[in-house]
Amino acid sequence: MSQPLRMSGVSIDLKLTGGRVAVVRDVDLSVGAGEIVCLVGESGSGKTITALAAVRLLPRVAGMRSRSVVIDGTETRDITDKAFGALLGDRVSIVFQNPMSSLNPVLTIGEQLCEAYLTHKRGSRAEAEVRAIDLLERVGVSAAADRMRQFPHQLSGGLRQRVMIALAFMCEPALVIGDEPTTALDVTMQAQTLRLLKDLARDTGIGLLLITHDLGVVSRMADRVVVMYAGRVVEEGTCEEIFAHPIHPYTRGLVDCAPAHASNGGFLSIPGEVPALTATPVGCDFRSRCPSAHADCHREPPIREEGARRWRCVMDRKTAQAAPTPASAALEAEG
Amino acid sequence: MANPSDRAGNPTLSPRQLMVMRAVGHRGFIIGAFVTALYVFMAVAAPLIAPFDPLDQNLLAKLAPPVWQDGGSWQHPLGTDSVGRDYLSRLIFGARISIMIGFFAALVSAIVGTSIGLLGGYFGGRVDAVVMYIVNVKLAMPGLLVALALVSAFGSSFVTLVIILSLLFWDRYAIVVRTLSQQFRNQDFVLAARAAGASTARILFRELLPNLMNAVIVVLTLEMALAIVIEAALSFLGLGVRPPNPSWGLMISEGRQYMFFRPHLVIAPGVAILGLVIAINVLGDGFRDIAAPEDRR
Amino acid sequence: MIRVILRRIPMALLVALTVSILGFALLRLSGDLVRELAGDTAGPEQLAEVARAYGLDKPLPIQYLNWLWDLLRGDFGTSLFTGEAVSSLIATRAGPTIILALASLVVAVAIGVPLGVLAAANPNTFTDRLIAVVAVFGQAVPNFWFGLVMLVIFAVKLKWLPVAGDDTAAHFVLPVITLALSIMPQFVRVTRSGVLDAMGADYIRTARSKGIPTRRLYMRHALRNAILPVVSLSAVTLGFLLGGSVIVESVFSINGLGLLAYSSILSNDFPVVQAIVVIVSIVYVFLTLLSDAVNAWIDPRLRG
Repeated sequence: MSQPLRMSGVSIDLKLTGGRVAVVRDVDLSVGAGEIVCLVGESGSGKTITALAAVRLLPRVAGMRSRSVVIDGTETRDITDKAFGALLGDRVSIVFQNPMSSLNPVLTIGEQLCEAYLTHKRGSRAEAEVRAIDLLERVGVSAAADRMRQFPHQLSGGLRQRVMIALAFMCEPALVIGDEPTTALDVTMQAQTLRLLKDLARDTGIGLLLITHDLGVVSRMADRVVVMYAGRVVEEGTCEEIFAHPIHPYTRGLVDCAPAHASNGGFLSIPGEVPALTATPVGCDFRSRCPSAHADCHREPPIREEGARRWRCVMDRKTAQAAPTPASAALEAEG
Repeated sequence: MANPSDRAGNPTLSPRQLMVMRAVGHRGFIIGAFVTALYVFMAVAAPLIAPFDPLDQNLLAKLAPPVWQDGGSWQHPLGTDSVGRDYLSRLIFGARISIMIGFFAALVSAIVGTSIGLLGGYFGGRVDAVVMYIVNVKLAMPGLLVALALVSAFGSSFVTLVIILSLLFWDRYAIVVRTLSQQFRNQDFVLAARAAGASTARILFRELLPNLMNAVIVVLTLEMALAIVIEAALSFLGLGVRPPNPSWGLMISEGRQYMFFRPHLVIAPGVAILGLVIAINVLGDGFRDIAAPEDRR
Repeated sequence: MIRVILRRIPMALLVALTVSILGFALLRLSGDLVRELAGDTAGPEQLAEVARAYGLDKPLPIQYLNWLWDLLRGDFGTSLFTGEAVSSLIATRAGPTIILALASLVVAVAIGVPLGVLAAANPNTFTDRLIAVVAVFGQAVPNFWFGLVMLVIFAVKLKWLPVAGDDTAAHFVLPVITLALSIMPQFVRVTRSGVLDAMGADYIRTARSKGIPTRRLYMRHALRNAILPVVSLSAVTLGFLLGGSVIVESVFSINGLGLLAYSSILSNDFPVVQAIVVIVSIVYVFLTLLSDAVNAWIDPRLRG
């Protein structure tokens, strides 16, 4: 079975009036079949735009370069938008953040589900409807046949996100990308929806790439975690390793902060801010906030590898894990 | 759409200075403003630049051809009309009528429409229902027919023309201002003023109105352009500016019977209207871009 | 959908009633109706007699109610000049105006909406600017003048089309182009901004992420949402055209309602003017109701 996603050397620039801004730099990312990968980072870290780049849904002002973007065994780097459109929605699909506005208000649920199917599959409308109803039931939508005739505004936010998930699975894709799919839902719906997404991913054996800033979500969902900071991947490893033994000072800061603030407030506790993208320094991007920063950090840090574990820091595993974390350093400074 | 150049701009500039900077960089605005200014200059300085009195008839030189036709001369570059009046001079003086009537009709309707819209938008509830009712009645009436009937009943002096045209144009101000003041009425600056005990009149005129001015000015330019066209149309139909005054609409109407062998008698005043109206439209569109770049499409 | 209409009806009725009062007032504004009817040479006795005969000796509110009652029964009075029933006068003259209005609307929508979509699909490009230039021209050009110029070029010089009248379809070509040009810019603008709004919406991103072809994205997903204001604008424009075709009718000598209203205004034939104003207003009210219903049919959120 081919890998659902393997992209390497991805860089993205935004062309703004002030000039070019490099928002993503030389990112490698892959998702295996049956694997759930969480892409983690603060807002502005480039995680969402990296995922959008994989499916060519970048805003007009963005320009992308890559060595390779393979989706379900197809190298897409040099194919036309039209050819790419045949993969999009079929081999790869996305669940977006805001279910309230992500469904077309003037088309019924059934029309939208069937349209996605009929765009890619040879089949009758009746077959599409059978598949849609089946999927709606699997994502826990009751009275699915009736829902098919309803319009989005007649459904609650939680239901709409289930419809979005069903929509993503209509064509039995190899890869589903979830862009903070539960952020807009209330807390009780979040857990249910994640559970559902996970079950569906396990059942179908697809690769799931989940973009989130919520470490609670990560710990429940992920097989593997990729941490981004200021447009670069800074650390990558299995979920257990990342949470039990984080290496990169930034990851350690994140993990330290996570329990203190339950779900999403965690990042606020790392002192300092993400460097302005227009003024990205040469060398390690995290050094202005890193308690262990020293002269060497002004040079490009090496990428260190230990099996599946990779991190981008001048420090080796031992040194890094012995160093103070950003959050503890902040506590000391305050105390 | 957010304009990133604004954020990158020098933070010490005031909004007004930023507006001026954007204005200077906006080609449409500059061209529109320049051409409009040219017309206004033509209107103001008409007695100085027009070679003849626009009302002076010379029955010996009726329908003189323009300079580019056989028998034309530089004495009357655009020739003369059917009673021997210098056509160029009438064209120049025509700018006065168009601009004056257009501007005052747009201004009076701005005052009426803005007040109505402000009341409905700010007070809401029953006041707003009444406002919407009045606007609906206005929209339902065939404005041009009513205007024609009123002009025929009340005559067409400058003042009556302005008032009757104002009746045609106040509704768009009312709708725009009503929508905006609905948005503004619960914003912090209004709530703060209310908490500080400001009177209703003060809130309406000192807090809300200044925030609505840009939108009102945009509508004003568009309505002025429209008023100029409608004045010309009324005059063309013989129910606007009276002869012998030089209104462009009237000139087109008078030139109509000669248009087969003196087509410029019809074409010239039409082009004059077209130029002015396009310039005002472009100016207004430009002003909208400059005043609220986030609305730019 | 029926509920949508029912909810709008009270306001519609109120507006129609008000328009009838204003229409009635329009007649009284015009001066001494009794003298107008009796003629300049009439003495006081004749005047009183005429007043009695037409019910003009009664108080104004009673006169209004009588007039309204006649109106509801389809009796719009008689023309002061031809003595013809106003209703039949209007019936014979409405045809050309309705043809003119509908044809102009169809042409304006058929050209304006695609241009608006085209502009929205290529924002801030040469195409977009070119379409904007066409729109500004159409909006700025005085249509009586444009009509005359076209008349000279196509009817007089090239002799491709007839000069004046309303007998054949060919007679309507130039008037329809003239009117369509002046109403088209609004359709371009409304469509462009509606499609731009829709194309920036999350649901379009969703549709795009499903690999739905661009053309279908515009035609099915964006336009369906952007068409709502176009429907409303069509209703408003049609109402406007029915009452606003005076100018074009007079340029091209089309014997329609506009020309009838115009000549009646010039000859102080107020029952006719009054009837046209009231009828056009009520048709307008009806058209806006209809457009609300159509919009509710397109957009389920409006069905509530």
